[in-house]
Order: sequence, then C-alpha cells, then structure tokens
Amino acid sequence: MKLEDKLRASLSREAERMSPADRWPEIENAPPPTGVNPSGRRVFTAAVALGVFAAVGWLTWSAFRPGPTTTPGSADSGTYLLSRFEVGPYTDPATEEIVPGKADVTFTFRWSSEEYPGVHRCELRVWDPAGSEIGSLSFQMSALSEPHRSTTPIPVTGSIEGATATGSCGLGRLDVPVAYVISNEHLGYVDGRLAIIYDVARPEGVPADREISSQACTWAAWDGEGRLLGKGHGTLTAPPGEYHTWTGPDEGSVGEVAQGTVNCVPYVHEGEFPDPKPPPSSSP
Amino acid sequence: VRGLHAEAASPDLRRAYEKHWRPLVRLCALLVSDLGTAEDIVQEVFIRARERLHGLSDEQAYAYLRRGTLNGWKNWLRSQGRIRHAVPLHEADQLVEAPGPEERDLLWRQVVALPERQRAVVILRYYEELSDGEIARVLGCRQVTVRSQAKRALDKLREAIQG
Repeated sequence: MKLEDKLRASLSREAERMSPADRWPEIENAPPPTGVNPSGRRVFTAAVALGVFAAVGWLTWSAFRPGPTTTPGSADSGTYLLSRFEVGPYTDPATEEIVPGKADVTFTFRWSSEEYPGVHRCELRVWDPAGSEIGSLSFQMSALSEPHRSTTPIPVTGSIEGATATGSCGLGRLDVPVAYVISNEHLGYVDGRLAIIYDVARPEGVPADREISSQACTWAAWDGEGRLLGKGHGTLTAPPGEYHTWTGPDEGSVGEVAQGTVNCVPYVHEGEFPDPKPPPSSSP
Repeated sequence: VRGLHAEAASPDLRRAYEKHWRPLVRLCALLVSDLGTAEDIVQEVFIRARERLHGLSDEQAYAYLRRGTLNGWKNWLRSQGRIRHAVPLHEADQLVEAPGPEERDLLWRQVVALPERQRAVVILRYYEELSDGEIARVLGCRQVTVRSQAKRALDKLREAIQG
C-alpha cells in the first residue's frame, strides 16, 4: 500500500476514534459574539485589503529579506534567537529534484523578549564535519509571531554529508518603531466595494534610509452619529502612498457607514491592536 | 438585512450543527491533537456563525464553517506560541512532540510529531482531500510551498515507518 493511502487510512481511523461531545446547548444559548451590538443593529464587517494588511500569526511572518546594507539601530530592542539547526539537501520545488550546491537549513527562531524585536540582520553558516565553513547566508529578518521552525536554502561549496549549521542575529534594530502618519481617511468604492481609503506617510525626522516598523492597526466604521458599527485589525507594512481597506462583505451595512478611521501604532505584542480612532465629527 | 444577534438559534444553524459538527471537530482534533480543545474551537466557530448561514447550501455552510475552524486553529497556535515562549531553549525539542497513546498506530504518531505546517498540509491533503491550491489559500502560502512542505512531510513519514 502506498504511503499516501496508509496516511488516509490512518487519519480516518484516528478521526473515527473521536466522539465529539454534544455542545448544542452551549451554542444555542451562547450570548452574542464579542463586539456585536446587543441591539441587533447591523454590524459592519471589515476585510483587509490584500497586500496591505496581513493577519498576524503563524503564517504571515515575513522573513529573509535579502539586504545589502546594515544600518546601526537601537541595541535594546531584543533580537531573534536561533536554535535547533538541521542541514539537508535542497530540492527544487517545481521538479522535486535535489539541487547540487545548495543546502536547506532548518532552524527554530523566537523573540528574545516578550516584544517584537523588529528587523535584524542575521547570519547562518554551514560547516562540514571537519569544521570548515562550506556556506553562509546573511539576511534581514522580521517575524511578527514566534516561535517558528523555518527552512531556507543556502549556497554551499562542498558535500553536506554530516554538515552542521549555526546562526545568530545581531542586536541592532534596523527599522524604526514609530507610527505612520495616517491622513485623509474617507470612504469610497474600490472594485465596486465600499472601502476606507487613506494616505500613509513617513513621520518627519526619520532618515530616508531607515525602514518604518510594521504597524498594528485598527480600522473602524462609524455611522453618521458617531456610533461604532464595526472594526477590524491587522498589521501594516507599507511604503508611503494611498491605501484602502474594504468594508465588505456585509453589504447590508453599507448604507449606514458614514465615516471610516484608521489608527496605527508600532507593532509590539502579538495579537495586540490599538483602540479605534473616533471620527473627527464626534470630537467635542 | 440581518443582524448578527438573534434571540434564538436559527434553523440554519441547527441544520449545520447536525450535519457538520462532528466532521469539523474531528478535523480540528487531528490538527490540535486534543478533542476537548477541538470542541472549544469549533463551538466558537458555530457561535460566531449564528446568523451567517442563512441561505447557504450544505456545501457552502461547511466551507464557511471549515474556514472559521481553520482560523480558530491558527489562533490557537498563536496562543500556544505564547506558552512556548516561556520554555527554555534547551527543551525546545519537546515543543513539537505530542505523542498520542501508545496504542495508536505508528504513522499517526509520526504525523503528530511533524512541524505544524507540514502536519496541517498532510491532514488537509489526505484527510480533508483538499487540492494544493485550496490548501495554499487556507494556509495563506503559495502552492509550491504546499508541495514542498508535503514532500518534506512524506519523506519524514516514509523514513520513520521504514526505520
């Protein structure tokens, strides 16, 4: 029997062993989900603009951006700790054939403290059994959640038989943890869907060659009387420009949305986002 | 237009519960290796879906609830990550190990020991029978990544059961 068929049988067998309890009473009698207005008013469901916001978490960390420059940053921001290195053959994803001259290095990384470390320069090195370096990779790393196990290909000059790897990240933070300047928030239609449209700019005083940190953002929709209809959040890493966040897919709420706001702060903790920014007209 | 809040559970929700509760809990339990955790995750999905199922076919409702279940699973992973952060680095090997009872078959125990993403790919591919494209959409990655993760997982599993 092929491994795939064995897997299907094993997974089905394991699933069949499980007898889920009846949770209908809990579901039927549960209070409305958090954030839903108890009056039953229509609730605005925010959706993210693809390519701009990324959900925070396991699948969205952005790592390994090759970068030739090393800009000194603050040294008190923490860094990434790398561990559990494994070296294996690199296989071409398309052909699934082993590619000579490359090795896959797998390692675990985590933040050195409770706070997001930002962008750091890291280095991986591959060693043969005699202790000679046969490959290395320098890269910039930014991971919005942790810990994770990751694999990256590295060029090597010799056999990877018995090879080991080491790696570390520098202390200097390369990005600047300041908030974007968000302005000109207004409603409009993008691809036929209602969206909050806004401008993103770099704050003054940040050198042009320094990247602005990833942001934790909360966007919100308000009715004409300044009542919150709904909100959503995500992370934003964006060059200056105009962006939008769709308000769909709850089209029923469109008629009630009068204003949209966006509030962004530097990303610090996983799953932590700022409060919604009230619409200007509701200010005293 | 319907609000999200209902005084009583809708017939749509009841119907979805009867048809999809067990399959979704089982799928989720394979992912998290714990039935109680899976029940908690899927229960929350059904509560949040209360008034979202109106007018959906069984198939559409299942797809909607499965998406919510997988999002719930990802949230659970994040919460696990916070706990793991407190584990000393030298004990990190234990993080990916969650061996089941001895009587369970070797292959399943090897699946449990896979890194989370590889394990998810294996379960979605060979239990849920999703295509690589569908898995890529669910996991938020490229199809080539799904294929490479699947290959790595299968290599490990093959090696484990042959060794």
